[in-house]
Amino acid sequence: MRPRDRARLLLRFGLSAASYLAVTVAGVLLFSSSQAFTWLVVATVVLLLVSLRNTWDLLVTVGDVTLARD
Amino acid sequence: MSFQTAVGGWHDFYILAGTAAATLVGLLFVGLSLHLRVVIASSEVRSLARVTLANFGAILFVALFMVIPQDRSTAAVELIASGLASLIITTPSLAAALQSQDRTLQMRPRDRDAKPGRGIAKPGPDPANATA
Repeated sequence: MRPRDRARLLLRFGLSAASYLAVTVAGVLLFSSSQAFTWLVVATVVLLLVSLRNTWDLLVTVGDVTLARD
Repeated sequence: MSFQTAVGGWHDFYILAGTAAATLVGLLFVGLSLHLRVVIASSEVRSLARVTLANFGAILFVALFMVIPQDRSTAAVELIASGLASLIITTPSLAAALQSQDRTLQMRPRDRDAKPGRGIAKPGPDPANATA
């Protein structure tokens, strides 16, 4: 796998994993401080953006394969 | 500032995020159901679909947990649980993607790289520059 593809994969899956970690950190922070809300908002927005991109790529890829078969 | 007051300020944001996530999950299900054969045949497509659904699910549950009227410690435990559960669900996909040596999933190819038969047609010559 080329480094560029690996970086793209890391962005795709790694950002999701980082957002889950941020949600967990926000849960831990919620016990003590109100900074948890900032972490949670950032994680939610990043998750939404990554999911939108993933959804688009997924549908384009599946559509391409289906059209190529036809 | 109390926890309920702080959460109340973010109420509309979480309502909107949860609604968007639920709507997009439905659209994704419909889109994938129309091409179910491709989804079943390709493990990489399945991995990407799993991660995307987990993302939307995490947003949905976080939004639900922040909208439920409850005390601070309960919300914290729910957030930790949802974050860890999402991590557990997506870790196998991340590991498989990093170990994969071949790349069959087209990661959003640019239109200029498109080849015939892949569903994206190459643009023809510009009629304005065509010579008779």
